[in-house]
Amino acid sequence: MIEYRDVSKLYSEENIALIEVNIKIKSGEFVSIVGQSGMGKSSLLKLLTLEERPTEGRVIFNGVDLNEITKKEIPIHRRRIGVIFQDFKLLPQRTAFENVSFALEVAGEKPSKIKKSVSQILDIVGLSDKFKAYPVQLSGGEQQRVAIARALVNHPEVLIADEPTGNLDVINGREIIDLLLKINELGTTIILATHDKETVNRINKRVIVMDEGRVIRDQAKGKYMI
Amino acid sequence: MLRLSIIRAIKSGVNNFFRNGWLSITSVSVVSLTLFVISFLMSIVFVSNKLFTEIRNKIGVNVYLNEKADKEIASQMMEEISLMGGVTEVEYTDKKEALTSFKQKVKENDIIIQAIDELRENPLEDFISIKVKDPRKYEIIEGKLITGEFKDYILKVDYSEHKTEINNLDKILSSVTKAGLILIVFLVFVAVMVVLNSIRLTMYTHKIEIEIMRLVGAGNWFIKLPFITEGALYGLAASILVTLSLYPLAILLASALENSGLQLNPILLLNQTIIFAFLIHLLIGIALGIFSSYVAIQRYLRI
Ligand SMILES: Nc1ncnc2c1ncn2[C@@H]1O[C@H](COP(=O)(O)OP(=O)(O)OP(=O)(O)O)[C@@H](O)[C@H]1O
Ligand SMILES: [Mg+2]
Repeated sequence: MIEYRDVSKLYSEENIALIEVNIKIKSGEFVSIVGQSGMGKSSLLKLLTLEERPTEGRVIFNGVDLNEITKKEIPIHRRRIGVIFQDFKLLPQRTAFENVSFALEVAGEKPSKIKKSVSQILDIVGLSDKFKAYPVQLSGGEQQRVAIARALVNHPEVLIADEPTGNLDVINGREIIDLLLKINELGTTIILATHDKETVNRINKRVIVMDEGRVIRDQAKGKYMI
Repeated sequence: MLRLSIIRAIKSGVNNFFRNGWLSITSVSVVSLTLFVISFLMSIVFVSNKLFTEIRNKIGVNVYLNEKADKEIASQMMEEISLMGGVTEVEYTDKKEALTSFKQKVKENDIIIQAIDELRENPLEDFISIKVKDPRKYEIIEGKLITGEFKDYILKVDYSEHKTEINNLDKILSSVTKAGLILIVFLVFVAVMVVLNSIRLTMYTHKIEIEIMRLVGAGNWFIKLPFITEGALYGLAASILVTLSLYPLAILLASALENSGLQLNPILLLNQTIIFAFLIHLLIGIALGIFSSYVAIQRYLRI
């Protein structure tokens, strides 16, 4: 479903983020990408959301070469992919409900459908009693749940999580990982970037290790090792 | 679907306008200040034009006739004058009428009245007063009269006395108008820069918002429209504010002009022009707001 073919990314002559990366991800997989800071994890994910373009090689998504996607088509492409981040990226002036409904408004959905989908998804992430809360009134874990709900409300085939537990304490972090596992069981492909050992070991699924922009290990049921 | 998106984007722009209270107040103030200055300059040009026309209308040229000219000759002259281009008024006053109105004018002053009464003969002459649309015409008319067939009946044309006044007035008027227009153009340019930069600053606080919009797959127009709506609202609010603020100003001006003897009523003038003024403010304000927002947001839309 997702394939990186000989992908290299250079931000400048000396600033090399990715070197000849080859990765294949099947639909329904849960893939953890690990590696120390600055090793190219985020860069890898940004090529998928088209925040960055590869310097060389190609990224294939559902049979489509992303190099072929024009600037105008990027918004449509992004609606097929859910993204969450370390810093949640919620709109502070909108309630939990509004933050999630926003992703559907952007896609031009009808109000009746928005109401139904958003309530449903907020139930799934366990926030049925926080619809009207603003981000500042929510804990870090709850904010990340809102972000997950927003990422999922468009029913994307893949959810990208870049360091989703980075700002959370251990308990909240575990809860978020468990939620991601549950979402994966329901059929969504998940790509997670992290440098947290405990997280990776808890998941106990495929692990790809990055070092200086290269893939140095790719194991089906891996532990975190460097 | 498209219409739904447009309505949503506009709604969100309106919401942002009220949610970002301080940013809105700042932007509205800057736009208001601009409109106010433009409005002020336009009023100066407008009022001075009006004042000058009024003064110009008061000035006329009198052609004084000598003993040889009787009523018959006078009416022939009047006909000839009225056939000259641009003449708006020709009026004959005989010396008796002239004396009565002069006496009327100085009736408080016993000494003058007494002096006039002691004279056996009327010291005044019959005269024809002329008014024209364009004061530059006076010279031509004067020339035609003193060289024409009636030259023997003319005692004098008292034009020369007003000549410099009229010419100066004209010069002042055209330079005030020119300077006003140049200033307005210059100010609009400065205003665009100021508004642009202040909206650009406020836009910085929207940076994260725009980033998030892009990440959830919002199209460029869906991102732009709320900001453009907000910009238009800055213009709308500012134009209402500035138009209303003209009233206290007009009242102030009215009390300042009260004893000046000028035939100018700022409040009445404002009442007559208020809708026009509002439309102009609205047009400039909204154009300014939309243009600035549009340019300011453009730099956050790369990728
Ligand atoms: N926008 C950018 N412009 C220039 N260089 C960049 C940019 N983004 C990343 N880099 C560089 O690319 C390299 C890889 O960065 P990347 O963010 O992919 O690492 P990472 O593995 O996600 O690190 P972390 O764990 O700290 O998030 C780094 O050397 C970084 O400095
Ligand atoms: Mg990173």
